[in-house]
Amino acid sequence: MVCLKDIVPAAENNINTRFIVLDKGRTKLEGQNRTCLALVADETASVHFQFWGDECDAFEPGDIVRLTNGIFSYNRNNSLVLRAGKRGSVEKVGEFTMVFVETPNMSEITWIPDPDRSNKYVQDSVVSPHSRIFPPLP
Amino acid sequence: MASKLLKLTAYKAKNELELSLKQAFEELEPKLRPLFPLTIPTPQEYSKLNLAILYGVLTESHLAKTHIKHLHSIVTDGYALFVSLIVKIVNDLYGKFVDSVKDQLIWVVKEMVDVLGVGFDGLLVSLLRQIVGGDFSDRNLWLCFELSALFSSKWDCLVEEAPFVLTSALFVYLRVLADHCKVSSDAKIESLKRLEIEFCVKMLREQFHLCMKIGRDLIRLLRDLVHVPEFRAIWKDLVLSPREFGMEGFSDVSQLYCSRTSSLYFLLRITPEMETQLRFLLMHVKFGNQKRYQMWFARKFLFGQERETLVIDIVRFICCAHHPSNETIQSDIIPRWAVIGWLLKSCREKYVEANVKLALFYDWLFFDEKIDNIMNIEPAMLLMVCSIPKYVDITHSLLEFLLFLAENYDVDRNYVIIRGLSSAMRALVRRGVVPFMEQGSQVPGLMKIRYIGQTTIGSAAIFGLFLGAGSLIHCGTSYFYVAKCIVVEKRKKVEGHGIGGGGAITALKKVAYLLKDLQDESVLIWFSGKEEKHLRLSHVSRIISGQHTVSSCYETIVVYLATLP
Repeated sequence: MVCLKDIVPAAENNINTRFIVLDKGRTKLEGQNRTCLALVADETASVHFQFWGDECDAFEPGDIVRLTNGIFSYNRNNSLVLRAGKRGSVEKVGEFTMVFVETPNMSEITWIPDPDRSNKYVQDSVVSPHSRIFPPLP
Repeated sequence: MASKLLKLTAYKAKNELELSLKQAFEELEPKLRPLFPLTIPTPQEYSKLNLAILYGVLTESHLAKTHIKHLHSIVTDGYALFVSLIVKIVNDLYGKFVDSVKDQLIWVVKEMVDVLGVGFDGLLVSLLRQIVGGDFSDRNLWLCFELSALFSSKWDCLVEEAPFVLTSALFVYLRVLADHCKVSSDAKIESLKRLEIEFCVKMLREQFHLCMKIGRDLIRLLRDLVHVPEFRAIWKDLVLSPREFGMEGFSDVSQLYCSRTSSLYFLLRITPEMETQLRFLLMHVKFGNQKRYQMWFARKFLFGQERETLVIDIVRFICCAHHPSNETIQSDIIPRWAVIGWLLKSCREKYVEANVKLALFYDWLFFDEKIDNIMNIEPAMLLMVCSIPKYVDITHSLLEFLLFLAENYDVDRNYVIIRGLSSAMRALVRRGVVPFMEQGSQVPGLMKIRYIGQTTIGSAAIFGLFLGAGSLIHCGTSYFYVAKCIVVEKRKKVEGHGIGGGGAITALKKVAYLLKDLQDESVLIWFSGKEEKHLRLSHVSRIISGQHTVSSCYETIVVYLATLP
């Protein structure tokens, strides 16, 4: 299990984590498929999560979700999202009983290639301390 | 294989409890058909058989009798394990059961009552917890019906073996009757209502000594039902002819007021799922970070007509059944008063709001330090005090309601309530719940009045939290509270009208002002009931300047405490 604050963009389906869904956007059609962007978080960080297909209807804010073999990468709109991907899966494991923070938001950080390690990324700068799509409640 | 126990939901992780039942069943299935083996199972096999039989009973209704016979033939522990398994699945999974499993559950519960299985009383209580207040769904009404039918049919046995189950059931049914008696002209609810009323009346008329064990919240619930003829008659007898109940030593309803209700009863009105979420909120969520949790909780439990009546039960639960540790109190976790403030604000119906306030203040009215817990009355006080800076309207509405209760909750036993409120205030002051009310002349906000009229004040003139809103004055052997007052200032009369309009607050604010700039010819006149009382301000020996709390509503509220050695 990895904490959200430790996830790094990569072209690999290897993220196993647990988070709580804080907010959900509207479901959209992307080509043939439905997608839905959500704000999710654990006790270390938040991130944008992209639900796919039937997942869009199966999860609600307040749900605690286990992600197995997920991927953190750029989607078609070139924004950084966490998702299950074709090889990963999401499962609801609980509700409500999880603490979270909204800052930092891992999707609101720009990343640059690591000069020391090829194919790896490191944090460059923070675009926003929290999600700009799902701002914190007043 | 798809689940037979729980409703199917996509993307839902498997439930381990369900899994353990199912695995045991699948493993032992061949042994679950007659003829049953005569060998005595090992303890491990015994546990597994219990799991398997329970799964069989719940999912194979056509074979349920066979399964139960099997259980009877192997049982060696008085059904303790079997009953405890049912309790566990009720607590963890009841809401997710498919309907046929709920039917089977009630059936097997009756079987366990028949054989007096060890722990059957706890099992019945766990089912009572699944009856949800303010919920008119068919399945909720069904559970009300099934359980009340069960209690009626096993009446004698329960009186003998499990009186706590009956008092618990009375508590639950008095509460849900408040829902069921509000709607009319629904044949289905009508017959359920009759059954529930019959049960409650039988309890109150025939087993009053048991009912007494509930304590003061019995009256709170009963009074919510005085519009129902049967309960109006009972209330009348309680007040006018308590001997009707044939209980030795019971001579006045105030005896019930003086007995605190156990927290077990408040848990009965909160499902385990609600309890988990509320306790999580109050133990782990930081103050300032609660908004999303509150939204989720409200969406799940309070959304929909009549559902908000649940807030009443939740407030009783928070005050009386959830007492945070000192560690939590000193941390940055959201305090109880803040959660109650949110709940109070979420009430849309006036009658619900009034009942929520009553729930919040209920232990104030009859407070006795010997039997009551200060933690039960602390949230109301802190909610009033902490709301002053930003939400003074809440403070005012709570204080006005408290004064309204003091005057009206039981006019004939007003002295009991005044005594209770005084004790509550004394306890809160002494325990330092409200910091600026500590004894000692150096503390700002403290005002000493040596004499009122000709009488030396005996113990304390209390409830000057905001003299500007009302005060309780203990004078000799009598207690008065200032609810309405007229100030005579050099023959100029300033009048304040009652409570509710804010007039009393304004008038008393002027009193406060007067007391500050003391004038010999000024007299404070107030009313205790219909009686006019006078206080010559010349008899006020000394005043230490009050604490000024600036609020948006009033330019200055002078906060006083009138207290004496």
